[in-house]
Amino acid sequence: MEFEKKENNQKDIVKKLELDTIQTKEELRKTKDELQLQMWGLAKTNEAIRVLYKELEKKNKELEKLDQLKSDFINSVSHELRTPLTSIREVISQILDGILGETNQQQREFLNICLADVDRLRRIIDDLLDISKLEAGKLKLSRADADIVGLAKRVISTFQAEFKSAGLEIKENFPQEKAVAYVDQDRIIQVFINLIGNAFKFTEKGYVDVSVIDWPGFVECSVADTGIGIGEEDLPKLFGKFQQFNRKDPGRIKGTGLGLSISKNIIELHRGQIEVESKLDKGTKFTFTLPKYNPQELYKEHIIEGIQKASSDKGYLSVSVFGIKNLSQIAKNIDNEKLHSATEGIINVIKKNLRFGEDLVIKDTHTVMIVLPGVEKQKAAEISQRIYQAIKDFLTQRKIELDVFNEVVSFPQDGDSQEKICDKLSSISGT
Amino acid sequence: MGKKILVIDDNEVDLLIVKRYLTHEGFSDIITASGASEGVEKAKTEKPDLVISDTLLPGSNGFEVCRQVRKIYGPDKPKIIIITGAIDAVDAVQAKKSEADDYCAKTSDCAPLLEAIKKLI
Amino acid sequence: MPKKILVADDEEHVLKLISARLKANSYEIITAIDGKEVIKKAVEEKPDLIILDIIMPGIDGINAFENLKKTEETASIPIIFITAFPSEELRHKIFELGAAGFVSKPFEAEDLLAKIKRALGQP
Repeated sequence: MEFEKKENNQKDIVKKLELDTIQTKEELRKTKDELQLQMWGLAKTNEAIRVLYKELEKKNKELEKLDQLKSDFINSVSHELRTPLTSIREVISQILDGILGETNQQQREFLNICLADVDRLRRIIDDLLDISKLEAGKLKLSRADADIVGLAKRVISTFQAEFKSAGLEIKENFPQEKAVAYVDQDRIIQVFINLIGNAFKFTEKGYVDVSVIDWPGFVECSVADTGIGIGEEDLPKLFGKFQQFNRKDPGRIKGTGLGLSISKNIIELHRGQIEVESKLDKGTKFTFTLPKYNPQELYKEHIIEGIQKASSDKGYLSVSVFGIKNLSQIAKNIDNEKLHSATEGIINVIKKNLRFGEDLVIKDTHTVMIVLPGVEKQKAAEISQRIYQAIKDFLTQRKIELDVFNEVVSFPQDGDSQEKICDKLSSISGT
Repeated sequence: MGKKILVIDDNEVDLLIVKRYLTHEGFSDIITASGASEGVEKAKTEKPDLVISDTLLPGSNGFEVCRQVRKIYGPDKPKIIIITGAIDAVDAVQAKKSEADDYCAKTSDCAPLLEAIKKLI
Repeated sequence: MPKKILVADDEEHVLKLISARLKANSYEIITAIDGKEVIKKAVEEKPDLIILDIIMPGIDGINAFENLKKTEETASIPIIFITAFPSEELRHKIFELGAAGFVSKPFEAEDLLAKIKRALGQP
């Protein structure tokens, strides 16, 4: 009896195991099917990603071509526009200067109107070129430490006569005598001219206030007026192209509609910011910031990004490093002021001998690095030799007893990666 | 080619692009629909040889369209391809599970779609 | 003795205008219409200064410049460029070459005259 029960139990167990096995096999089969499905899905996705990637590359190439075409087009159009303007301007100018005979008052008056418009056309062409370069990211800044208060004063003085005859005041607000920022002087002057010019245009009575304030890390500038102001709806469009509101300029210099757009681009290219506040009939205030010289930022921008670009373009980049031999020992024996002025002198010699690209000179604590994009080692060595000689001549002439060393590190000749180049540079400069 | 193709997509431009490339390939009989229910309706009435549907449709999706068409006609015909602007492995699996015949990416030259069509009809 | 200036531009009216302006400022003027002519006249007439348009058919301004600098008789004559398109690269190139300066079209007469004076070493 017990034995039968045990047999039945065993049969049940076996049956259960059989059923379990069938079920497990079934589940395994389902899982296998599911897995195959997933693999199919992944394979499809991978295939599609490859296709999309190729499409992206193709689109990129097309965009590059279009960009180049646009750039070429704008360049040739500007060339074609400037050429006839040359004769027009010169003829009018010669008549006005009396070279081609006598003229009466009325003739001169009208010819002056012509001349003003020719110059306006020229400004529009210049602005168009500027804006197209800025938008394509092709405008190069030539930066150096500059006193912004000085720049503002220069621009203000050119407006004095106009303001006086219009019965308006220019107020200066410079709490510090100097405020140095790392900028492209000509471009910042362009911004001041644009903002003060606008303020002048849109202010009937009262004043325009120009302020420059030195803050740690940046310089803050503003141009405020008591003019007709800008409506809330118009404020967002303000920095757009060809925006001109309230066209009731009574005989004052007409704008091109691109000034603010260019100014904004210039400030942002300097990694600064520009803002506007305004109330109708109360006045408008533009505020912008300019960054200060930061060797680390410059190092990153010119050297690290420069090598990355050279790497992807399969091009070259060289860095020529100049330093004072045995600086640590010399620093003990020589007067600090003398050392500082000698170093400044050396930097000036370097900049003079470069003739351009002054902002590719980075002054570190112990060395001066000149970044030469697109230049390979041989050429960089030649340029460095020329500069080295100039420095030696300078030191001899001033009877300064310092000895200078120079080393050239080139990509890809001296290192095929950004890390290798930076390592070599830091070992030279001792940082 | 003689084959009838139904294209379902709520984006007008995408619809036009597919239509243009299909015509260029020699397919002259092309019907379109811009929504799921319209698509299923036309599938029922027009009896296409191939249905191409976008994944995302207003209020519904391509997988739902696929399932409904299969309900009407069965697993073999018409051939169904699901296309998408946002390629996704999970969607690919769902396409297969809804009994679509293929799943591919939308590109500006419709190359993956045309390749898939060649294999099916 | 009035200073002699050689002006080269491929456009006749530009030549006419610049000549009129410079003559009114007591300079003696010779003209050339392309790169080849400017080299020829520079050797023949030995001007005190050359004004050179950059874009000219045949031998362009830059080529003519290099030619003039290589030729012994003309190497020391200061050269001012005129260009309708003063790009950054062009500015650099002009400096690199060692030109005495440049004006961009449309130029202001006072600007051109001042640059000529400076190149000639006049106050």
